[in-house]
Amino acid sequence: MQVSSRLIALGAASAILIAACSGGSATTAPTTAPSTAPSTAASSAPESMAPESGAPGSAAPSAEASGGAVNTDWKACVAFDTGGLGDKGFNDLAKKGLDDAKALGYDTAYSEAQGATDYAANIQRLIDEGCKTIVTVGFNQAQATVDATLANPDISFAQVDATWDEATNGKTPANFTGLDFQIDEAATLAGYVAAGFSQSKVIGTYGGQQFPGVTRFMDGYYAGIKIYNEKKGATVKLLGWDAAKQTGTFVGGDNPWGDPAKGEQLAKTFEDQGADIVGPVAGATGNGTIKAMLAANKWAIGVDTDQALSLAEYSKAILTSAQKVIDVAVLETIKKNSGGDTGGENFEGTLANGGVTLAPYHDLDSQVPADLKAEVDQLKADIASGTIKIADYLK
Amino acid sequence: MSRATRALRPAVTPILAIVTAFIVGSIFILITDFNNLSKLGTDPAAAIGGALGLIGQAYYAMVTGALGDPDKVGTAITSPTARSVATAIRPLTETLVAASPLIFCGLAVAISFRSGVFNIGVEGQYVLGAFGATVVAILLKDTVPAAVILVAATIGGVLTGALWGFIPGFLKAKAGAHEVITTIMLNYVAAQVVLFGLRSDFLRKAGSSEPISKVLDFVRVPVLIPLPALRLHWGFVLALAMAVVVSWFLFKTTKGFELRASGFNMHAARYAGMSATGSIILAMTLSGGLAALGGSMAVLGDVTQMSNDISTGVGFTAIALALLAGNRPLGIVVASLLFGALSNGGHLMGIKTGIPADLIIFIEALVIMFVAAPGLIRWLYRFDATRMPKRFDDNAAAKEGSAA
Repeated sequence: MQVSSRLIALGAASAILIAACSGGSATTAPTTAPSTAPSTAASSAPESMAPESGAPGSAAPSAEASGGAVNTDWKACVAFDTGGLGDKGFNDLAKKGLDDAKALGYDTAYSEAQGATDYAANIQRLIDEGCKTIVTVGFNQAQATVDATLANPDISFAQVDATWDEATNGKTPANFTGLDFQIDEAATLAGYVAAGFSQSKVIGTYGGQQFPGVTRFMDGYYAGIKIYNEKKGATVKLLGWDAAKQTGTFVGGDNPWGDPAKGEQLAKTFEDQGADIVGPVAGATGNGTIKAMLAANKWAIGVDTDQALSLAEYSKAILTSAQKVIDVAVLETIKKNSGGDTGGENFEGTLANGGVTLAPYHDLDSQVPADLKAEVDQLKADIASGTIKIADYLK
Repeated sequence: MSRATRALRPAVTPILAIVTAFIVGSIFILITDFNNLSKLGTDPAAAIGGALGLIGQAYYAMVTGALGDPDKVGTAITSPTARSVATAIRPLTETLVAASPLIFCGLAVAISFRSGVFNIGVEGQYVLGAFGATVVAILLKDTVPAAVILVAATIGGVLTGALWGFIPGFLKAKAGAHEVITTIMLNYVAAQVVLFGLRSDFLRKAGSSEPISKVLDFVRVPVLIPLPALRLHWGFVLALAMAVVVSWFLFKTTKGFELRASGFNMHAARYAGMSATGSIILAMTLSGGLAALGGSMAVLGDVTQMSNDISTGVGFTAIALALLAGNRPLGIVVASLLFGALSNGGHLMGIKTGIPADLIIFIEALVIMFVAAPGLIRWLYRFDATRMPKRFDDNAAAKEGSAA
């Protein structure tokens, strides 16, 4: 019994060590270093200074906070969820946005959670540290973000890829910015490329469940293919989504977002109907589809992040991805907040402001014809300038 | 020797173990501090100064994050408002919030270890307890008063976890299946049960595509201090009460004696007329129930929403904690407070310095290793092992150390 209890102690200790090591390898190097000077100076400033309005020529540096100028008195922070950092996706992009803000002179900090109990606590720690903008990442933190937003009207909050749920939580507060993405713009480009690239001239798509955030991608594919057909007099078909009727193929069931095997089946179904490119909008279920398309020497379209990078083992099958540019959204939010706009509406990522984009073609770059690439660039410019309206192609 | 020094003696090794862990931890801060390392060639003085400054800043942040920031305490004293007082005492209360689940789970481990069974499934019992409480709470929503829901959900959670402890206990007693294997495997089953349950429309938050439950805002364990954003709730008091109850049960009741007797020597206990199989099943069931009580308090108290990351791995940390504390309830409370302080302070350290919070897990692991190897600490600090009083007689870890 003594031997076994010793073994267990060893096992427990090594388990913790392994956890520490694996976590550690995913995180980046410490971002340095004693940055106490500006923050302590700010917090110890006597209250009599009251920089409100005052003479226009006053020396207070915070007075220049207009027109997107950098306000270095502003502390910008990001709260990550568990195991977020190192995901080469959402979390690392949010971190990049924060690092960009730091490079501009903002005081920055971030927190990492180890479990659900840390979400509210970490946001509160950031508040106590004097953060003025707090961006949260990850659906698990949604409720903690809502609670903190309502309890701290003097601090600006934002959440990546979320909008305020007015049905449950009332009107969007003036200190909240939902980082929302007009992903249909990027998806339209992806649909156009797919239409031009497809050899069978049949493309498939499906979603996890019929949510607006999902069908927005599918609308984009639909519009992109329609634009291509009109321009070229072609008859490329989209399976799985009819934007006019708003009906299509969805995984549904108990596990719509985490069932790669189901994704592989769906890929086969679309292939049987002649599709050689499929754009799944279904989280990890979609990864199964991409895997199956690779096995069949066919192609897929990625969603949310540049999946040719995040799913590098399948990159030969990933034509491109309709991508949300989180780092730009985070940086723009920080700039907006420090410029005096606390929020109250969503940040809308568009092609025009770089909030959404079409990912590079990566491994397939040499196979995409140059004139198709040029047409996509032209379409991007037309959508960004408003010459082409996606809504016109959804009828 | 005075009474006070004699009482302090057993604390010497753990304290030196903690100091050693921090020293080793600071070495890891140094070698991951690329910013200062890169300056070592060009400006060694600044590099060394910067590195030492970083270590000092990190550990200072850890202490203030765990106990309280003197500046903020000062502000609270000079201008006491609800908010400033809350800010001043929040670090301390958060340490207690972090310690609560560790106390529950540590006690759960201790009961099983005292009874000679190794419950490695505390993590799963904790998670499933939280899950059971969530299911009952959502079932009863809008039907009965909140206080009734709270009690019913807690009982539901405890019963779920007790069942999850009963299964391996029963398998061990009736079929001889080794509980280490069955409990470890049941941890995985518990995690999948939770994921499966959270995907149902009944539990899942409306409109969410992710496995996360509806918010349990209609039932809440009452907070202890009614100030802004202080989450410390009665779950902590319940944890302390459980430590007293477990202590009383193990050392003052016949049943507790039977459990410990079968823990010491199952054959002797059976020869003395005690039911060894009954003891195993009872110990595992109680153990599972205690862990689940911790999980229920967490989800109904400070987390308020069931998700698959409800646990920070408390069920595994608790195994080490219980061994550290020699499976003594009071020792488990002390060790839990220490580990709660470490993990709570570690978060502020991460925020202040950018040092990954993983370092805290690393230091926790080092503390466990050094305390579990008192011979190593005595050798490191060259103090006379033979003069150490045999206070750890029932402490498995200490006994092994001196035997080695």
